[in-house]
Amino acid sequence: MSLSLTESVEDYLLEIFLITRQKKVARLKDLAKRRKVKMPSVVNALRNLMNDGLVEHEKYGYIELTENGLELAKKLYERHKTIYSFLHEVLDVDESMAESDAHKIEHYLHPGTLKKITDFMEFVRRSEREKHAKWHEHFVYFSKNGEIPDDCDMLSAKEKETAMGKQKKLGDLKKGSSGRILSIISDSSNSSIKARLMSMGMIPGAEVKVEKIAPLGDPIDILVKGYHLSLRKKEANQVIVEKIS
Amino acid sequence: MKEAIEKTKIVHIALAGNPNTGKSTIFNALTGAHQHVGNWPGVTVEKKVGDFHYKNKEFEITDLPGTYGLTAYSIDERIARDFLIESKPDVTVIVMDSTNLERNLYLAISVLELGRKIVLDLNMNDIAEHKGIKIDTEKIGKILNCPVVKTDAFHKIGLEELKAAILKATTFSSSQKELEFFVDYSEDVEIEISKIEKMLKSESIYPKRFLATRLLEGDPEIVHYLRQTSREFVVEEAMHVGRHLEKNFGYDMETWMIERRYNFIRGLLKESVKREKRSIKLNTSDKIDRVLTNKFLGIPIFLAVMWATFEITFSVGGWFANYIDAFFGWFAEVVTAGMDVIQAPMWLISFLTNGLIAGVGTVLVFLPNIMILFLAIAILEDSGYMARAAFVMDKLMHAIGLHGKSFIPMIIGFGCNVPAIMSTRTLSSEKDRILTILINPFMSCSARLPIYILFTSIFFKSNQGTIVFSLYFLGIAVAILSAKILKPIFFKHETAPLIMELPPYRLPTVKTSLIHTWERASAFLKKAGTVIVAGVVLVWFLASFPISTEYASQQTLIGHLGMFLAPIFKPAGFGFWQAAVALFFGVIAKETVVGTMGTLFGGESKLATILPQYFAPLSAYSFMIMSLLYIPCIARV
Repeated sequence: MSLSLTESVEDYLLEIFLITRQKKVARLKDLAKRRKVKMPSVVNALRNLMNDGLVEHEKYGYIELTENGLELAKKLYERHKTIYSFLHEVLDVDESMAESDAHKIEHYLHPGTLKKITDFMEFVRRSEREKHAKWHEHFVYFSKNGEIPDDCDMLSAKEKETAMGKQKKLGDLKKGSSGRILSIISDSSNSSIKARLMSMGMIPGAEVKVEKIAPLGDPIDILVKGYHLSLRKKEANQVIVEKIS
Repeated sequence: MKEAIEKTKIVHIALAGNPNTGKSTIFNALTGAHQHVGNWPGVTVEKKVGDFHYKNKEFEITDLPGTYGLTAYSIDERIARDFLIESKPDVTVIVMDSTNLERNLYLAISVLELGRKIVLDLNMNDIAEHKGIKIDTEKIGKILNCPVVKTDAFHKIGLEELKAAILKATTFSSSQKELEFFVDYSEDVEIEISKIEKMLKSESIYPKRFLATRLLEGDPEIVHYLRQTSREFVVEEAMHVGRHLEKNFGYDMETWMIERRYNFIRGLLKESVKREKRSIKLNTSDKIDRVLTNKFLGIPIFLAVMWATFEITFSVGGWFANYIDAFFGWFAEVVTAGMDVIQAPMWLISFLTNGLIAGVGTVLVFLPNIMILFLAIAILEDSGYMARAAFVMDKLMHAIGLHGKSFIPMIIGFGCNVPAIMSTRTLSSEKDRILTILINPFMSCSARLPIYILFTSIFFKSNQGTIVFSLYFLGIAVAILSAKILKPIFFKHETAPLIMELPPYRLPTVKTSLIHTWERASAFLKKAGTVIVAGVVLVWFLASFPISTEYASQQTLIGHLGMFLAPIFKPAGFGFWQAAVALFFGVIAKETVVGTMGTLFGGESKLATILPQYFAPLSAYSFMIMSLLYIPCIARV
């Protein structure tokens, strides 16, 4: 069963689904009221749906979804809900605007795009729940105030990237491998580390190579700007690098 | 006449530079013996000042601590910054490692931003040339508006040129604005910098541009300074502006400003430095490191080096010590004979021989040992091995709550706790420093060495080195234990980070090593010359009075004191009064323990025969342990 229905057919199907959930039965006049159209239009649309075998229209004006119709309507409903939550929950658009925009957008999105949106939302939820990432909260703050909040937890954002790509903590590089510095995270308990490392040449863009690891596994010796620098892994992990070969 | 007038105006020079750039070699080469060591006010950081003459002018040169920048984050950097601001030296010479100009220039730029006239000294030029690095000094000089010279302090090359450049720099008349020089921090930031500069109005201490840039970076000391001079509003403004800029850059200001400086340096180097492509082979230093910091060999080598250091100290030092001992014995006899001739009173003869000469002799006998130990430490330090030792041992030190670098003061603590405590300045955290100082007395300092040597030479002839090594080891163990106990009591916070350069291995110069040795040995001698001799004389006094009694007998003051204290030491196996007294006087300085025993048992030369009557090997060992662990000497306090 394909989903290649016209926009209005999709809307009717979804509407009937929603009404039957609320009232058990859907009537022609309810539908006309919700869709803000005249009765003849509704009758016309229903005829099309009946032809497609999606609804059954009995006497007294009751409308019921067929099994196929129900299955399809559920899919449409899920799609609507996804877009609505993306607008409302992630982008912080207010409810009614999210609702009406979701109605407009939903017909045009490619399933692939929809899948990405679903993944993204799942990622937001899980990173908040499992990693206590605050960056969504910070985004909301940002869109309200136009400023990145002071306590913006870069680490979580970095950890996200580290998990996703080739970004690594310097302390995790193996002996003999090289990286390019992307950023240095400031340690709230000791702000001087970042400044010291940077004034010694550990600036974004600089190349570093893990030369040696001490016999007991820590500290490590890195080559940066042509000299050897010894760091504990703890400090090295404040340096985010992009691995290069 | 004209000469005399010129001499009255002394040119003040500050010597700055990264650690391991040969700064002290340059300092020594310029000043020779004309230098004195003191402390920077308020902190235990060594301050060296020296002077030299050049073309009828007198130059006074102050050696600043080796730093990588001028932030407020470490004591060393703060000292350097404060000195440049407060003492306003006429010229600041920046000693640089020619093989690593990029990092070294960062400091130079920081000093320029402070508005100081500088001379760039591209040191270790020979190594740079060997590596195929060609530096156009003229170009650098033109861009930075300062004299630039190449030197090779190790081979004493380029020193005259350096002096000439310093003289030339004094005549450079540049406007303050030119001196403050600028790294272009990008248009957006520059606008804010000039706004902040205007808000600062009259500022007499710092250059305004310097204040503005550091404020944007969030330098805590500058923020504090402005708040104190009731310019809180400037701080507020800068913070506001900073946040705004950060939003635009998507970068924090600190990173931005530092990166811009490095950008400037890169541009400068692009124009002035050419690198010949040479086959990149493992250099010698890396080859040595492969072995010395090897996963399996690193620690055994470290232990072997330490053990060898002490073996040499004993075997070679002991050889010299015998001669010195013999000399003092002979000297005392000569004095006694001479005094007899002029019929001096008995008490005076006794004072001179048993008190003064014995006292001084006691100290000097151990000088060879101590000199050799210091020399070994100086060589280890100057060659670059000490940093590797810290690298290899850091995990262990860190596990007991200390810093890898705490190892250096601990090792120096074997020499003497006083310079060891001075060397704790290399630790950037106050807490690490205090903890290291607290446990330092458990390291067997050289003052305890005489006690060990005396006892081991009598009781453990065959395995002297091993026994002494075991005592050192015990000291370390107790130190570790007390660190473990003290740490959570006093300091809840974590230890300072380890950010330490591993300098390339270098052959230490004889001169620098000897100067380092002498600096420490003279500290020992000074202490010996005052506290210890006084202590020994005091013992003599107590041992001689009341006057009618026999010298150092049980009836003297000291005898009574010893009898009183002896029972305390009974459980340790040496509950007799002479030992108690000796330990008691050791509180003044450990060196006096042996001196006291010498006095009490009627002369040091006789100790070898007398002591076995009192001590069994086991109780001798416990006596040594006692000397190791009880109250530290006064000089330390």
